[in-house]
Amino acid sequence: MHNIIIKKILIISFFIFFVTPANGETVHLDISDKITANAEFYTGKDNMPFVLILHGFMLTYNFPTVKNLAESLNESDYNIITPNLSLGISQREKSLACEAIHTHSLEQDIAELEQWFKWLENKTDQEIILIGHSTGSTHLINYLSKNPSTKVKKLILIAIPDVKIGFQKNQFQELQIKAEKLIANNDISLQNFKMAYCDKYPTTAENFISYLELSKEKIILNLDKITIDKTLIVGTEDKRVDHAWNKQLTQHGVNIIQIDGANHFFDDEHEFDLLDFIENIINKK
Amino acid sequence: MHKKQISIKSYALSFILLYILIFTLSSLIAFLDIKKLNNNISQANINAGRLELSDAINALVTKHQSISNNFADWDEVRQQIDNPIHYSYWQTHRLPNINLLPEDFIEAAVYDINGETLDKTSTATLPKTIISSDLKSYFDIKKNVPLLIIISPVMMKGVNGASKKIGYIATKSEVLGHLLSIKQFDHIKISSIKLLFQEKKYIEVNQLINFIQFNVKESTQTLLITGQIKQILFKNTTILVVFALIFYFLISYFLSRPLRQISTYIDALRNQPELQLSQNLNTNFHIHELENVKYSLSQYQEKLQQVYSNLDEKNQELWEMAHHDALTGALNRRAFEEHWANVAELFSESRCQVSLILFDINLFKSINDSYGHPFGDEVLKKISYAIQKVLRQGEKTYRIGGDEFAAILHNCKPDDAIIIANRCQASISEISFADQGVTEPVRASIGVAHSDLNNPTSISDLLWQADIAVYTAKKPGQAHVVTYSEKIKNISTTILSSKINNIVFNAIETGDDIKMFYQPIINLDENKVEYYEALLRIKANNEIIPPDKIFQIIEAKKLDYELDVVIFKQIISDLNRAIIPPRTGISVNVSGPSIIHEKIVEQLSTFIPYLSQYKIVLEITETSLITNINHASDNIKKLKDLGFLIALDDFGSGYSSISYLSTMPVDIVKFDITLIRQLADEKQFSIINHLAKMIGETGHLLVAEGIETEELKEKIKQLGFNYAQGYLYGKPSPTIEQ
Repeated sequence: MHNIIIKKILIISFFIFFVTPANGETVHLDISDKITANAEFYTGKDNMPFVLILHGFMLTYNFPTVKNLAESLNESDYNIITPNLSLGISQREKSLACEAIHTHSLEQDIAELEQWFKWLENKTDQEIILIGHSTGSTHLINYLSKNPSTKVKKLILIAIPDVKIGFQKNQFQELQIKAEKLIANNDISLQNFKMAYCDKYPTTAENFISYLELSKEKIILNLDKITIDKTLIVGTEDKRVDHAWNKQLTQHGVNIIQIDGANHFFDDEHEFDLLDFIENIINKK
Repeated sequence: MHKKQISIKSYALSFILLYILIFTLSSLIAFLDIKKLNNNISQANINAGRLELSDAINALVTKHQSISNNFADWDEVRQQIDNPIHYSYWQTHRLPNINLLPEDFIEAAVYDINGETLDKTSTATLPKTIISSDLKSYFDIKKNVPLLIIISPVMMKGVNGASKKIGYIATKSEVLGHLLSIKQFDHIKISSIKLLFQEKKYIEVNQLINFIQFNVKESTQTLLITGQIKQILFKNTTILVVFALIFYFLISYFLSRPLRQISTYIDALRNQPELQLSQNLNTNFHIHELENVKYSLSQYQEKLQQVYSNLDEKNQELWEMAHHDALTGALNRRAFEEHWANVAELFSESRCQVSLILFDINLFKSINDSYGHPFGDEVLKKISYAIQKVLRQGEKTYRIGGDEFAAILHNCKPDDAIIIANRCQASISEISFADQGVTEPVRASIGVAHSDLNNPTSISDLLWQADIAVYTAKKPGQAHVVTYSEKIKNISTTILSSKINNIVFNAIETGDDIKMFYQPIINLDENKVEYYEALLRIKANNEIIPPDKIFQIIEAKKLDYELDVVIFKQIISDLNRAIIPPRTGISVNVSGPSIIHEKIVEQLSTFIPYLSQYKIVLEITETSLITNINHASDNIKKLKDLGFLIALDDFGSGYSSISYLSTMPVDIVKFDITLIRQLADEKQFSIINHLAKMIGETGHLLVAEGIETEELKEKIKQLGFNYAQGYLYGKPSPTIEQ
């Protein structure tokens, strides 16, 4: 335990005094006529693997958990790309508020991920490691289950959230029924739904329904389709995950690493634990 | 005229007041400067306030612009431009709840690249359309509230780094209200801010300040400094006034008081020269110089008193000399006139009885001539003493003329005055001159006049009344003491006649009214005019004053010489005007006093230029010549030497003496008319015949006066007279037939 603390202090000191923070290069990718998506690309060594880190629900690559992880791994010479899901907003730079109009759907998100994978495949022949934080993990599971790639060697999932968490009993089903009815009625009007931690989530029923693909059941099904090395890192203090369900994932080929005391975002010193574990996973042959 | 002087106290007060005035003026100027400074500061405050407000507005506009720019840069704005399908919902539900626009942002709207609003049905008050060329911010005035309208372009970053405009946003914010609610101004009173937009609907951002009225805060520093300066001024003024009062007191006490004491003392000296400085100015002065002044004043006063004392003595001597006759020791005419003025004044106040006695020594000139001046002087001394001896205590003898004395008697009854006058006469009569070898008694004519208690002006008449009384007393047959009365008044009508007096005096004074009449004197042998006698006439107001009246006044007033001089001038004038025919002659009457006058030769010398053409005869009366023979002889000799002929006039009218005649240096003897008129009598004819022959044989030419008939003419021719004068040949006339 002491060794770990000393190590953390040394790393912090190193960052403060010796390491120039790595700055990524913004990469633009035209998703459609109107939408251009951005990603931050941190160039590492040519012979080093490419790591794609996907942010959580409605966040951006500037979210500290993602950004710090990207910069740290880049310091270890990995080539890092952190795409921003546009969520229907061209060159979105800020996290999208719950109350904002959500014109995006899971399909669109996955389509954007597909384009980034294409961009990545065009960019390198090196092996690719996927890291998803929170909902980013579920997006990667969803994508990878549909688009298996030989270049992708490892899938690191950080704190897979439970989409139903926070919902009252039957609330999720009621919303689902409501959405399905609206879809059935071709109603494309905005409705206030509840999504993850958002109590107010104005979107269309169709868009709302699309994200039900990220349910625990669907995740397990999709995980089973993914054959590469899969590791789940979860903080013991993370309130947004279903720890019991996480344990079940080992049965589906997922290695689980628990970091004591870490929350959903691996703040403070847990950031370094997360980095250590991830580097260990990446470096593990 | 004594000009009023200003006291040192007043000067001190004036200087102090002047100093205070100057200080007050300088303080006032300082006060005005402070006021001006205050005004400048106030103006600077106003400018600073305006700048502050302007800066605050600009800062707020800039801040709102920045907020609007951030808003324009917001992802969701781009989201709405790209996909405006839910714009109404977004604007209605989303926009009001975002933190991006602070509370004072009332409204916001999004526009597409063409400037058209995304919400076609919007009831927003923001512009429906944006003109890309006019993105200036401005104030929209609603109900006197300026609402800031900011329009910002919405940009999209390009792939290559360049940005492109994809739409616009517009925001409306209530800037000023927000500004006033939160801003603390350094210079402006927030409560005083008033917005005066009137009918304005649109105001450019930089013009807003012009529509805001405000008051500035008083600068606390200025108030402090101004208050401090005022306090200093007040303190200085107080100190100045206190010191001025002290200074005034010190000057009053140490300088003004001693000077005033000295001045008062000197003033008092004017009335009481005997005042002693040591008794009246015994306080010690605290100023050395003033003590010196006091000491010097004391010394000066002491010496002055000595001088005064000496001067008094000298004055007394001088007064004595000025008021006493050196010869007799009696008071002189000046003393008499002064005393008489006092008497007149006293009489007008108290009406006490006053009597005036005048004394005139009889034949004093003859005495002088006969016995010499030393004897005459002795006569005067003894007479003065004799009068004084009789007078009562306090009464004085005055010598008011050569041979005239006077005495003024106070509180003296007329009878007593007459008694005293008679005693004086007796006292004079008793004077013996035996020691001088003269046995003849000396007499004096005495005139007495009394004041009339019932007539207030009678005192002024006393002098001439006494004069007339003396004149009367001198007349032959009169008593030696005459008291003036109405009876003798008539005797001296001429003298009393002020009118005639005035005419005569004026004639002598100015020469006016003097007129010479000429009567021919005929050469009996040649039967032609030998010369003319010049006869005096005074004509005034068509009235000719008779010669006897003229000479009464002249003799009484003793103006003989003065009259003769005037006559000479008139004759000269007539000679110049050739009234008298050339190669004839003129005879001029010269009075007794004139012929002995020291300047008679000089006066008559004016005739010298005419001697070549005219025979000039000087006629001197027998009486005057006899009484003045000693003095006259010198003058006559000089005149004869100059070429004048001398005629003895009125021969036979007085005490004619053949022995005198033989010694008299005369050329012509003019027989008096009284002798000529006696020629009818044979006895008288024989005497005159012998007298004429005797005188004629001594070489004198003879003139007969009063020839009025041929018969008389023949008689005088028979008697051997050379010349004849009378109406037979011609009356005296102002003109002569040439």
